[in-house]
Formats: sequence, C-alpha cells, structure tokens
Amino acid sequence: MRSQAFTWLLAAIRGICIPCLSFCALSARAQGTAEVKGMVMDEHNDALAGVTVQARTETGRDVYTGETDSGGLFRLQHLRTGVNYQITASSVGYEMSVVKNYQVSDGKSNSLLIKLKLSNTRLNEVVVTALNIKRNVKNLGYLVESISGSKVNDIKSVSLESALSGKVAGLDASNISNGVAGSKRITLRGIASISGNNQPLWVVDGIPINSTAISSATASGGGGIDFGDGLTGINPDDIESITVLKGNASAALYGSRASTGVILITTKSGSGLAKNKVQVDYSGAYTTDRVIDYTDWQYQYGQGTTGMKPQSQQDVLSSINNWGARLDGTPVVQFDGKMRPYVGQRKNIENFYRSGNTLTNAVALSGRTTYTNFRLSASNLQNSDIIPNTGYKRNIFSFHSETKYNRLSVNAVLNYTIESANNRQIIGGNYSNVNYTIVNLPTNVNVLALKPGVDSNGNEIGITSQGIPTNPYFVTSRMHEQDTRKRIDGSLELRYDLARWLYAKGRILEDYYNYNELDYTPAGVIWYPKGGGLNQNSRNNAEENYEMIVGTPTERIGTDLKVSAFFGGNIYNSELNGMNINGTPFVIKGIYTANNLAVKYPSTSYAQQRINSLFGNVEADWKGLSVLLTGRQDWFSTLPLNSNSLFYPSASVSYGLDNRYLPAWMSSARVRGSFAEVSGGASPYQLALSYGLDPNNYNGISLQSISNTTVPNPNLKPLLSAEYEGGVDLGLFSDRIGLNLTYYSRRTTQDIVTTNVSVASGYSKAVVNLGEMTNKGIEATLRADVFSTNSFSWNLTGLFSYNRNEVLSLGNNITSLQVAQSKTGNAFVNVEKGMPYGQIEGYTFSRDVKGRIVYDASGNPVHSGTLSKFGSGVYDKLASLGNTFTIKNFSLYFLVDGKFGARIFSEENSLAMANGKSKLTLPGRENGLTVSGADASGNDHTVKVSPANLVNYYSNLAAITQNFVYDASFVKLRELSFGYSAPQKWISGTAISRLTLALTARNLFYFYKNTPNIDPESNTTSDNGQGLAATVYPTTRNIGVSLKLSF
Amino acid sequence: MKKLISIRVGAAALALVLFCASCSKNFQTINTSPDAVTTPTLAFVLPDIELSILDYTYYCNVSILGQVMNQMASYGSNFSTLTIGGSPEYHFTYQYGGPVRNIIDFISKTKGQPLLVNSYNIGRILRVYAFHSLTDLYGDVPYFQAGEGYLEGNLQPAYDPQSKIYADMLNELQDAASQLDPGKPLPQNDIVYQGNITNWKRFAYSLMLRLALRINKVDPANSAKYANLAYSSGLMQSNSDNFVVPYKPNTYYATISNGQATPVVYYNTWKLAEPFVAFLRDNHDPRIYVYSVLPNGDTAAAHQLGLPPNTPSNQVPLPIANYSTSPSTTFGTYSAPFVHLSYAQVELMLSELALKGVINGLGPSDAPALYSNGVTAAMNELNIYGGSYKLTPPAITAYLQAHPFNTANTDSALSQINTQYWVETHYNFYEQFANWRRSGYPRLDQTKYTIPRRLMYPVSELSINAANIQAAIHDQGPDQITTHVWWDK
Repeated sequence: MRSQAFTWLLAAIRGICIPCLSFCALSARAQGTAEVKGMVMDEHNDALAGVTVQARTETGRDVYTGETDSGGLFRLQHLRTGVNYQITASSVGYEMSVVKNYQVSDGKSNSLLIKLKLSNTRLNEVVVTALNIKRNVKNLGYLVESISGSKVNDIKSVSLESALSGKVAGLDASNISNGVAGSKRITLRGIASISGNNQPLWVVDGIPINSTAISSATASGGGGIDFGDGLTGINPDDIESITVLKGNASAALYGSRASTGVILITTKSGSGLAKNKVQVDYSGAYTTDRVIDYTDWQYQYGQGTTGMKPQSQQDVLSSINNWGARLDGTPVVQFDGKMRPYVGQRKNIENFYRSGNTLTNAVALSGRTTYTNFRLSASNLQNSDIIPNTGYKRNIFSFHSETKYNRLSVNAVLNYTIESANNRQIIGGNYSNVNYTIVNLPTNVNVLALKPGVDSNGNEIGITSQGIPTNPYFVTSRMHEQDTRKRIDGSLELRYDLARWLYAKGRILEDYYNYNELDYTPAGVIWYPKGGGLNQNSRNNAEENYEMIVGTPTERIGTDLKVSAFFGGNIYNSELNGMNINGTPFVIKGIYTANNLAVKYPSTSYAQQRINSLFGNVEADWKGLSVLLTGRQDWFSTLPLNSNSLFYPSASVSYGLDNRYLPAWMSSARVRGSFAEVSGGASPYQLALSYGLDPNNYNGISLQSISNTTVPNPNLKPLLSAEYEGGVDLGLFSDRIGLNLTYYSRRTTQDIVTTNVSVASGYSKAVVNLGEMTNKGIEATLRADVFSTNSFSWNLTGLFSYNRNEVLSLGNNITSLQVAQSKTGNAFVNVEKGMPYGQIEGYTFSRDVKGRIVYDASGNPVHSGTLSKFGSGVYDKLASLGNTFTIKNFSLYFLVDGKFGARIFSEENSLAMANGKSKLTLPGRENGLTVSGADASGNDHTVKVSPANLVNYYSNLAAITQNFVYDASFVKLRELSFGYSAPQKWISGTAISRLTLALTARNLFYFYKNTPNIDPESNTTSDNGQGLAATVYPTTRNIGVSLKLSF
Repeated sequence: MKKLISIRVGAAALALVLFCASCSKNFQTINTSPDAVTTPTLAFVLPDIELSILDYTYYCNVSILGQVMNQMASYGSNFSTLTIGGSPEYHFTYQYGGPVRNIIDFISKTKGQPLLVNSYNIGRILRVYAFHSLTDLYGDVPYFQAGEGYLEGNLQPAYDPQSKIYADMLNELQDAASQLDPGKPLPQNDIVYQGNITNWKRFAYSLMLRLALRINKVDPANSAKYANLAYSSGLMQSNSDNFVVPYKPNTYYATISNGQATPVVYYNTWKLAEPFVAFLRDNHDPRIYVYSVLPNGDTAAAHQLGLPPNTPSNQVPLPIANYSTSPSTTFGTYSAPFVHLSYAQVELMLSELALKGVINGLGPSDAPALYSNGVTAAMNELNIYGGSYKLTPPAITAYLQAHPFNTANTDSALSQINTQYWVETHYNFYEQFANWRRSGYPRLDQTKYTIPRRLMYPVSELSINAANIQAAIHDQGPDQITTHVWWDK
C-alpha cells in the first residue's frame, strides 16, 4: 500500500517538473521487535520537546526515528530485539548525545534517559533552515551560521543589527552609529544587486518582516530624517536563536526575496519547560551612550576673513569661515552682536550632546501542558537620545503557542508593537542638521552662546544671515518631529498528519503596520521654509503570505537510504497605502497643524505587488552522504506578462567521512558543496510612462507633465543569481577545535538596474536588465575550547571573510553608474564596470607631464576636472575574535572586530579645509604661502599666496577630493562584557530559579584607524551609497548593565 | 483506506496544478498604478510647458549670470572662481529634465495630426526656444537625440556642434512658422498668446531674428538670409506681441511662480550691482524706480546705490541696508512676469542690423528711429508690473533727447543699442549674457575677475555620457568658462 501511494505522489511531483530521485521501496523483514521509550532533558533536568531521537544498527542498515513530545518523551517502535543500536538525540542549540551499543531486549522494559548539553561546537548541531525546517548541520551541503539568543540578549546592545556585528563570518553590519531608532545596514557576502535592495530578508518565527527603511537619509543632496527600519520593533529578549542563511542554496526556498540572504529569528517558546510548569522571566537593562569626540581642529585662528577679526555683526553673519586673526583673547563681535573673547572653544561636542539613556524592562510568562506550550511576553523600552529633546519609546507584546494533539499541530504567533519617536533629526545635509552645525561652528564660538536659539519673538537667532547652518537650539527646541508605528504581525500554522508518511501544512502570515508622522518647522526659521511649514504622513502597509505544503517526513527506504520530500505553493501579496499633506506657511502663529496652513497639498499613494510561487524539496541521506534538491518557480506581478516567471533549482551535497579513515586527532570531517539559483523581481509600476497633474493649477487650468523621472521599461525580466559553494567542516582533538572553511562564487545576471542616464535624455535614470556582477569569497570560522575544566574555561571564536566583488556589466555602452553624490559636490559613489562595487570617485590635483601640481595665476591648485577612482566604499575583509572566559559563575567576554579594504570620503574634513577649521589650513596664515609647480602650459610656476587669498587657496584644495578620501580600515574593541550567574545553592529555596547579572560595554576604542576627525564607521546612509561620510550622528560609546531573573 | 489516500494526494496535486494555471491572474491589473495616466491631455500640457520653460532655480540665471553681467550682487560673494559642479550645471539639468522632454513628448503626440497642426508647430517653436538658451550657455549640447530617453530609448544622446544646432533651429522656425494655420483648431489654454496664431508667428520670426543676429560674425551669409526672412515674414509689432509669461505668488511647489525672484525675496543679502544702478541713476533714467528700491522703501533715484560686484564681506563699505534691491512689486516677487522676447528687443536688434546693412531695405539712416522705438517700447513694456509703472511719453522723450543716438560713431551706436538691450533684459540674464558676449557691450570691468564665455557641463555627464561629452570637449575646447562657443568669435 505504501509503495503504491509513494509512486502516486512521485508521479504527481514529476508531472510538475520537480527533479526527483528514482528508487524502489523495500519492505523490512519482520522478526522479533520491541519498542524503546525514554525521555530527553536538558542540563537543568527540564524536559526537552522536539528532540530528534534516532536508533540505527551498527551497520547503519536500519534506522528508526522519533521525536520527543512536549513532555520530552519519545518512543521508537519495531526495533529488532537482540540487536545493538546506536541511539542519538539532537536538537537546535544542543550537542548531539550518542548512546552506543544499546541492546534492545524483549518486552517493554527498554527505557532511556538522555541529557543534552547546550552546544558549543557546531558539527552535530541542529539548525533552523528555510521555511523553519530543522536540519542537522552535518546533512547540509551549504553553510548555515547560528547564534544562540544569549549572545544577542545578554550583551545589551542598542540594536539587533549591531549585536550581529562581528558574530557571523561574511556579515557586514554598518551604519550602526545612528542611535537606537535609526536604520542600519547589513549585507551578507557582499553586494548582490547593483541598484536593488542588498539587505537580507528577515524572517521572525516564519513571518517575513518588512524591514525596509521608511526612508533613510541619503548620502546625496541635503540629507534628511532617518525614520528607522522595520527591525527596531524586535525585542532581543524574545530571541531564542538567530540563523543566518548566507548563500543562495540555503535561502532558495524563500524565493526572490531571499536573493540577498535570509536572517531567521526563532523566538522563545514554552517548549523547553517541564510539563505543567509555568515560568516567569524578567529582564531589565540600562544602557548609557556617551558621544566620542574624534575631532582635532585648529584653535589658533578664529572667525573672520582675509586674516582679520570680524569688524561688525554683519561681517560675522556673512560666513562661518575661520580665516580670521590669531585667537588672542581680546573681545570680538559675535553672531548676536555681543562681544566675547576671541578664544578657541574646544568643548562644543561635549557641551551640546548629552548622554543618551535606554531603559528596557521585559517580562515573560511561559508554560507547558501535555498538548500545548505558550509564551507571553511584554517589553518596554525608553530611550532619551544624545541630542536634547530627542527620544524613542517602544512597547512589544508577543504571544507564541504550539499545540499538538494527535495528528493536528497548531502554531500561532501574534506580536503587537508600538513604537514612537520624538524629534528624529535631519542628518547628512547642511541645514536643520545640528550635527553639521556643531562640526562647522567657528573655532571661537561656544555652542552654549547659541542658547536658547530663539529670540523673544520666536525667531531663530542666526549664525549666518542666510540661516545656514541652523542654530542647533532652534532645531531642538522649536522644530518638531513625531512618529508612531503600530505593527501587528502574526502567523497561524496548521499541520495535519494524513498518514505517518504524509502531512499537509497550511500557513497564513501577516505583517501589517500603520504609521503616522508629523514634522514641522515653525515660522521664524531663517533659511527655509519662511513662515514655517509642515509635513504629515500616514501609511498602512500590509504583507500577506499564504502557504500550503504537502510532504512526507523522513522515510527509510531499504537499510541505508532515508528520503523526505515536500511540495508547496505560496502567494505573497503586498499593499501600501499612503497619504501625505504638506504646506506652508502657518496662518495663526503657534498652531502647528495641517489645517492651519495657508497653502496645503494633499496627496495619496498606493502600490501593490504579488508573487505567486510553487516550490518543492527532496532530501536523501545514504551512509553519510546527504543530497538536497529544491526547485522554485516564481511569477512576478511587477514584470511584463510574457516574461514574468522563472524556475530556479538548487542542489546540495554533503558527505561526512567515516571516523575510521580519519587520523586520531581528527574527530570529524565533512565536505559539502552546492549550486543554487535565485531570482528577483522589480518594484511595481516600472513598465509604463505616466502623466501627472501639478499640485497647483494656474487660474483654474490644470497643469500636466510626465511624472516619471526614470525611463520605464516595458521589457523587464527577472534577475538571476547563481551561486556555487563548497567547503569543509573539521572537528579536531575530540571536537575541541572546530573549523569551517567555505568558498563561494556568486554571479548575478540580467540584474534589474536603475541606471543613471544622461540628463540630456530627459530623464535622470532608467530601469534596465543589463547588470552583471560576481561575488567570490572565502569564509572561515574557528571555534576552540582552548582550556576547559569544571571551574575554568576559555573559548574563542575567530571569524574571517574575504569577498571579492566585480561588476561585469552595467549594460550596453554604460561603464559607470552614479549611486550617490556628496553634498559638497566633489565626491561620488559610482559603480564601475570591471571594478568592485561602489567606487569612491572625485578629483585629484591637476599635474603637468612632469608630475608637478598645476597652479593657476593666483597660486590656487587646479583640480583634474576628470574623475579618478579611489577604491570601493565597501569592506572586503572582515575579521573578528571573540573570547569567553568562564570562572565558576563569572564570565568575561570580549570581541575585537576589524574591517579592511574600504575607503571613505569625509565631507567634514573637506568642509573644514574650506572654512579654515582644519589643522591643515595653518600654513601661510601669517606670511602667506609660496607654491611652486607648473602653470597650465607646463612652465615653471612659483606664486606667492597672500594671507588674504588663503581662502581661495584652501577652497581649491578642499575641492580636490583625493585629499579627503581615507582608508576606512579599523580594528576596534567592539564589545566587552562581564557576567555573573548566581549559583543554584544561593537561590534554591527562594522563588528565583535563575539569576544573571551582566555589565557590558560597546564601541570601547579603536586599536587602529586612519580617519582624522571622524569615525570610520560613519556612513551617512544605510542604502547602497556607501563610502560617503557627511555629518551624521556622532558615534557613541555604550555602557550598560542588565539583570535577568527566572521564577 | 488506500483509495482515500490516493484521493487525498491526488486532490493536493490537482490543487497545486490549478494554482499554477492561475499564477499570473490579475497581474496586469495589480501592476497598473491607480494613478496611471498613459495619454496626456494636451490642453494641460501646453500651459505647463509655457510656465516651466523658465528655470525655477535661480542658480544659473541670477547667481552666476546676473552677477557676471554686473546687474545683481550678493553680499560677500566671490564669483571669480567658478568651479565645475554645482550652480553652473543647473540650467542644463533643469531644461533637459523638464521642459525639453515635455516639449519633445508634446511634439510626438501632436505630430502628423492635421487637426493639431497648430499645437504641433507651437511645440517646435518652443523646442527651439528651449534649446537656444542651452546652446548659447554651454556651446555644443545634445540636440538631435535629446529628450528621447523613453520615445527612442536613447539614454546617452550625442553632443551636436553648435553650428549644426543653429542651422536646424533656424530651419525649424521657418518651417514651423509657415505651417501655423489660423484656420485650424487653436491650442487650448495657451496662457501666453491665448491661441492667437499671428502672435505665435511673430514670436517665431522674432526668435529667428535673435538667432540670425547671434551668428552674424561667424556665419554672415546665413545670418543675413534668416534676418531678411524674419524681417519680411512679420516680426513683433508692439508690446502686445511680447512673449511674456505671467506668474502667480509663491507656493510650496514652484511651478506657477517665478523662481528668479527667490534671492531677493529670501535674502536681504541679495542686491543690485552698482554698475547697473549707476547706469540708471547717473543717466537719470526714468525707469529707475521700477528696477531699484532701498530696503526702507525709498525709491528716490539719487538715493539708489548698488553693491560693488565681487567684494569680500569685510570690504563692503556700508551696512547691507544701505544698498538697493529689486522692488517687491516689480522684479522682486514670485508673481513677477518674465519677459522671454520682446518688441523692444526686436527693434534694438533691427537697429543694429540696419547699421550693419544686413537687412534689405534698412540702412544706417533707419537705425536711430529703430533705436528710439526700442527704448520707448522697453519703457512702455514695464506697465506689465502694474498701472503705477506706466512711464509718461514726456519722460521717455526727455530721456531720448538727453541721450541722442550717435550714428556718427558705429562703436558708440552699437554700445548704445546693446547697453539698452542690457537694461531691457534685466532678469533674463541668459539672453543678456549671450548678447553681451556677441556684442561686447556694455563694457564691463574685467580687471578684477574673469567674466565667463560659457558655463561648464554637468559633472554627471563626465561619467554617464563620457564618450559623447569628451568628443564635444575635443571639438569645442576645454570644459572651462574661458572657452568660447562657436558663434562667439
């Protein structure tokens, strides 16, 4: 009966083009059988559910598999009596336990108690993989890295992304200095798409989360507000484990959205509890952030022009330049007309920023009965930012339950998150950006003198007559921003076992949020908008997934072959509804609502897209050899009907060498290899040209023009990414040392590129299918139990990765594509054919044939006029070393993190050269400079630059990009933590079952960096324009204390 | 049992196959924006083009050209070191990304349709207008392939030599003007000429005259040919023929406002330059109160004072409140009408062409009358700023009598004509700068700084359209302000 049904299923699968294995089923010969029962517990003697228990004969011919129920009990039936079995138990995050030579005797007395230890080494680990399928690492033909929750939530870090920095080989976390509420950037194995999203898909308990930034400050133009991303709403205390799926093979089942990798988060559940037990956990943490001042400006000369002190208030207000006289302490007029001593003000950073504080409290209630377990948690976070009047609040309520009754399993997850932020700041640009003001204040102006920022009429007290830069106290006290995001996400999964070898599973996943934002600038601002202005946004975003899977769990065929397979379909639907109203100026003073705007413009926006998919998965193990085949077909609504679909397969193989053939010091060895393709679609509405109405009419006449600034493409195709991966996993000296080595090579073709086009085409961009790029690299992970006794242990984890990116094609005739441009206009991030992604480009000195610098008639250096390439803004080598020392109940952890091979352009240093704040502008202040080089014709040329003309000399120098592009490599002490776990004997008898205390510090100091005045980790944006540092939030050093209690 | 399982599996498989069959259902609808309008409404497009053909940024026009032409001055400004990037590229970026592509799309939507012949040819005339300011400012620019990113898929248009652009523009004007037909349907919502085809013809030929005069030195034959053609076909006859776009007070979105007013409206540091104020003041020009006012509202001619051009802030002699600026009732407001081409300009150009004997039937003896007509029209034209800016005939006559046209000395006559042209084109600095380069008048002080001969191309073109722009730089000369464009010999 069984074999026939199997054939039926296979025929069905074959009919829908999933590659399959042919095999024939053998039926086992019946003889004397008995069952083995038992229980699996953890080190605290708590029952463990969901543990895979397997019995196999010495020859490996017969294999019996079972799983523990919610009470930790398992049962293996039909084992042959009188035969010796090897029994193994394995579960996520635990070391596999092996019982050798277990002889099954007749009757019902076969019972076993197995204890599992939390795993340190990974070779026998079970990990969560795509679609929440648990797999043993050794059966995987690709690399999966997993981090236990304690690594994320023990070390209190400001965000989830920064907690991952330095923890996974090949994971690059950047843009992490912009506060708790700001957006972050993570990439896996380099840049995957030339202009598409390059950040991984985040999946929390199987729910894909919309993590895209609502809007991030851009590196180009005037900057903007960083409104954060979708990940600020995850409570680190809820995390059980994080799995990082870096390669295509591991992520293939998620389809197009996973073409940049997947980060899977599994939250805690009640399954780890003993039956009929209820546990209460509390966790509290307090973190304080202090600004690190990396600046080292000159404090010898003050505000002024042509070497003179400012003569009048009008003169002061004309510029913030520091081309004045030597700071001599004599009274000098300042921005407000008052006289103050002409002395250097070195403490503006310290004086303006305050220390930031974050307080987190989380409570969880979890419990378990025979059939069901649950966890309910609530957490609250309150943050006050380093910038006055700025902060962020978050409340999260989560519910997670698992129920298994007979053949039916029901899993439900429901999360409700409320986030609200106050006064998110405009960063990156030159106005309304307090960070820009602080950096560019004249050397003799004390920021405290700018208080309160407004006069008695509510008008800004200007630093310049144009109002650039903006008075920072006007920004923090009068300008306003407030946003709230309410998010509900959840899933309901039903699984029914139709037969022992056949199950059906259906899931509904929803991620919905409602977002409201309002920001305004009151009347009285000098620069813009005169009379004040307001912007109000609301959006509703909903993403649904409907999924249906039919499959067979692991089935033994013959003695050594095990097979499992499933087949399913998914519908992904996303809808965005937005409303915006903005306008200017306010009619009634002091009323800051849209209703009070003299002129207001309402608008709405809408976007929908859908991806329909079919996918299948076949897995087979035979004597240490594991083979996994997957296939997926996606249909994209965003692509033209005739080319909207693509099938992409994956195959992976893993082989564990038999111990008998290994040298004694090598405890295990495994080789693995895989090939996989993943495709990707486009954004909605990129296929046709559209005309839009202007918000204004002209005497009642409507005005219409082409609304696209990007040339639409009616012939778009899906992009395709193909990756080969191979590696070895070695266990040495009884697994005391674990080593993973991986090589991968990924090629992205027909990439959907939003390429820059000549503005003379009438458009600034065009969507084309012409991109081609490769990422090749190695990843190495070394884990060692250097020293291990009962009372003292030392573990270390070393990670190294190297990724070589090369852009092969940007389309016909296109060799360069602009990603971003600095506000100063002299630095660009371009993608260049034949080079690694994201080249920082700009001007060099113009030189004559002999290599001499060319100066103009006034002695100003001349720039090259054509762009030179200074290297990529993306790191290619990442390395980290984490050490854990445990002495009895104390533990000490520190992480040294290094990144290499990227360059960064500092707008701050370029501006400081132009405005005379840089130390490099000191030469020539008193007596002028004599420059010697060549003139435009290549003749000898020596000119004296007078002190009055230094401003032109240094402004020209400031325009030469080359002078401000630095090696962004660094090595820093990223984390240091000290933990204490109270011994059981102290707390036994109290209600407390576990107590841990930790003291943590992040971003302690740099061992090595090459960027004067700035932090090398201060990219403006979390988008692809990496390598430009404008004035963003200063980096902070974070120190925190946390307490965890279980009752 | 066996049968039941077969049915279950079969049903599951069938469900998946059915799912597959409907995998692209509704995709066309889903991927169509609810806001999508794929066919333009021409009656809404033409007014948009007419309003937007003037840049809404002031960076090129006022900040650079207004200052180098010594009519505008910014407190503490230093324009002697114009570098690549930033302001000089705005006109290029704005024109191609806005009016040019909309005009080219408008032409493509009206082409070959007998009932739309007037709209089509008006589109062609506006296309020439947009391009003549581009090529005059930058020299060789993309022309034949420009603005066709969507229509032709040309994402990297070639740069065309200015000589070929001029030849085609003149030809286009001739052809388009000749096809305009008052008997065919008139364009709707024409906010400049209200669909009056005669006005459009006169505008086309007046623009032809401007182009013909521009190439007078470099290509005398074609200059004469088209000047005569324009003259004989019907030029602007009075100020009611002027190509003037009226604007509205400022709003959050700038389309309907005159963005050139921004500096004066927004900054108390933007002033009139002293050479301009001095010319009006010292010559007792009756127009001075239309152009110049002190921040305290004083319009008395003798009190007006301009800011010295290009002076470092600590060398400005007086507080900023002592310097004159544009009145908020005339040029210094977002609702200021913008004069693109006027009857006054036509008469002044004819006066110069008459002096040079280019036009058949007009000789040097006709020049004084044409000059007087031009100056008179330039003064009368100012009533577009309202009834209080109507100059009286005696005031105009007195001014003309005080400054008689000097035909005896050609240099002096050319100086008078083109200095009046310089005054008349206040705020239309694109045209003023081109005419100054062509004529050399008025003589501006160039001892302290270099006055550009063109502006630099956008930096982005160097990387995105590299081969084409390098070819242009090779043909035309280095991408610098000192390089002369083709007609500027």
